[in-house]
Amino acid sequence: MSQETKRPIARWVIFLLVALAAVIPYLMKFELPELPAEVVDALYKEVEALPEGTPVLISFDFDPGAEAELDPMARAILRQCFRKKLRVINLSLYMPQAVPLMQGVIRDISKEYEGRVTKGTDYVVVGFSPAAQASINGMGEDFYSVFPRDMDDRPLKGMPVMKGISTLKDFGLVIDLAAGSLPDYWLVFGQSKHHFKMGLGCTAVMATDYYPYLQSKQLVGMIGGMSAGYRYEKLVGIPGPAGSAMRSLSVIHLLIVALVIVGNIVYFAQRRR
Amino acid sequence: MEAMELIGVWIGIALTLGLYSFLYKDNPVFKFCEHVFVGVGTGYMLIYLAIEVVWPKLLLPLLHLFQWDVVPWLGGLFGKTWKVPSTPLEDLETWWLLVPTFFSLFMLVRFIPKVVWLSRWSFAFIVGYTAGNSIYASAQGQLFPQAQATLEPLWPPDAAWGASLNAVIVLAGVLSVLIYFFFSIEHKGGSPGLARSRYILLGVGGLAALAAIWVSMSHPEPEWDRARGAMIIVSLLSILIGFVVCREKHGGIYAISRLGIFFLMIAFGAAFGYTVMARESLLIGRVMELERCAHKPAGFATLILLPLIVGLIAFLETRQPKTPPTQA
Repeated sequence: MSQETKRPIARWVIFLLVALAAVIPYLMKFELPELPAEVVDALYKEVEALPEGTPVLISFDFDPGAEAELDPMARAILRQCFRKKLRVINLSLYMPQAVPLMQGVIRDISKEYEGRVTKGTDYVVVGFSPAAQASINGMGEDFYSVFPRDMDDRPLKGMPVMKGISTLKDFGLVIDLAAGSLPDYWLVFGQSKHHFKMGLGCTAVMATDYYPYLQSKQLVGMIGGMSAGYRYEKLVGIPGPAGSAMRSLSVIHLLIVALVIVGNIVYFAQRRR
Repeated sequence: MEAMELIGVWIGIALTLGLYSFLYKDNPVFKFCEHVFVGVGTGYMLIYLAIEVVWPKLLLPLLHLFQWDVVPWLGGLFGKTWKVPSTPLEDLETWWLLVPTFFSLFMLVRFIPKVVWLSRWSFAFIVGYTAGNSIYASAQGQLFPQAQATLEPLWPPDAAWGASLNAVIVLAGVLSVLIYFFFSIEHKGGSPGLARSRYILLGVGGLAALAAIWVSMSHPEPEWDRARGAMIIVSLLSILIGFVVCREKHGGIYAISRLGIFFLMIAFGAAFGYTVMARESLLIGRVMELERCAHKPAGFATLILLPLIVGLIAFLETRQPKTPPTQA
């Protein structure tokens, strides 16, 4: 008898169950309990504590592959920054694919705050720079040497949003929204040299790698994965895409736990035979 | 929804469904979508870097330097309003741009066997810069802060018991995992002199560790941080070196290294759990997109494309030549 026929549950049955667990809860409406997350709350409080007009740098370092996890975080953070009237400088160092995602998020959220935020005064999109290591080093010496102009080709120097900013240490907070190794670059070449406060929003896969940086206080807070993004949306108080996704995520988790238990029972039963 | 956006949505949904067809099995539709995905990603990156980085940051200043007034004309070709920079770089600064230009060109000569050696200059520069820049920065940004965070006072004043427990767990985890790795391969060789050195090192390390613990308990004030840190470093280094020259993993060392495995398993378990969550999130992201595009504004893209792609795979399946069963 082949290995294939020995399987108690066919592969496609598991795929179907996971697909149903993803689709059905998404279409249904039910509330999930609020769970505290210390590291997510810490980042939220850090942003809340910033005085009005403080410059915040957001680095969009993710590609479409990680959009599902990082887009809700980006929206929630931008909403909080705009509500707090912070000056937001947006850029990307990861790959060009991040640029349209960054522009899309900023376009949507700035539209929500139309009349309350102005491009060039409250926020700016400075674009993409390759070679993250060299770019961070450059911004640490002179921000305008790496980004002399914004994405609309206007000179950055002299823009109201850039008032008082010459290097990375002039930012009140740097938030990296990342789906790769960019946080390492930001921590090693940016934060440790210039001692600015840094927060991180990352995919769930990366989250465990960056907990040690919370312990060493190199990161002030972290949003790791979709569940943390949902928590951040809750804190900001404006429902976003993570809320809908969390219903599916919770049900898929329950299904996987159930499948692991069933798999173990079957395994031990087969071994006894 | 505008026409171009609608076309983009339809292509996106078709590619999503085509890629998920791999769940059935590897098939020509999946292969096609896979190649489109890789090709479009690479093409987009190449064009973006050429137009938004190489052109404005390298070629434009160089053209300006050589007074070649072709900039507006070239911009017109790409539908852009490129102008000669209003604040051009200093001449010397622009001349320097020739250095990265040549290094970039040298990388391309890998396709020409006679001058392939030139590409090594570029790679040597990149590796040298990255290594030189990273070594110091990594020590400053990762090694020292992480070591410092590991060596937190075990009983800090006015701290909750949870903080002490955390510090103890972190220290135990780091030490036991280090010991596990140091003894993962049996160390061969060694002389009686080396064995004596080992005992001396372990003795020094043990005393330094005891001193560090005593200082942590009796003098938790920040002024004692440096003394405590020095003791811990002496203790850690001498004990580790003492263990490295050991030959076998047995007795107490075996027990500690087993503890190290538990810590590793807990870390791997957490990482795996997070990985599963990440993959589920990606699936949910696509499901949300498929649902969003199943309605009228998106032209019912999901509902129309799903049966079409299933039908296409079924049709291609019937065209596949049947492989005869292999004889036993």
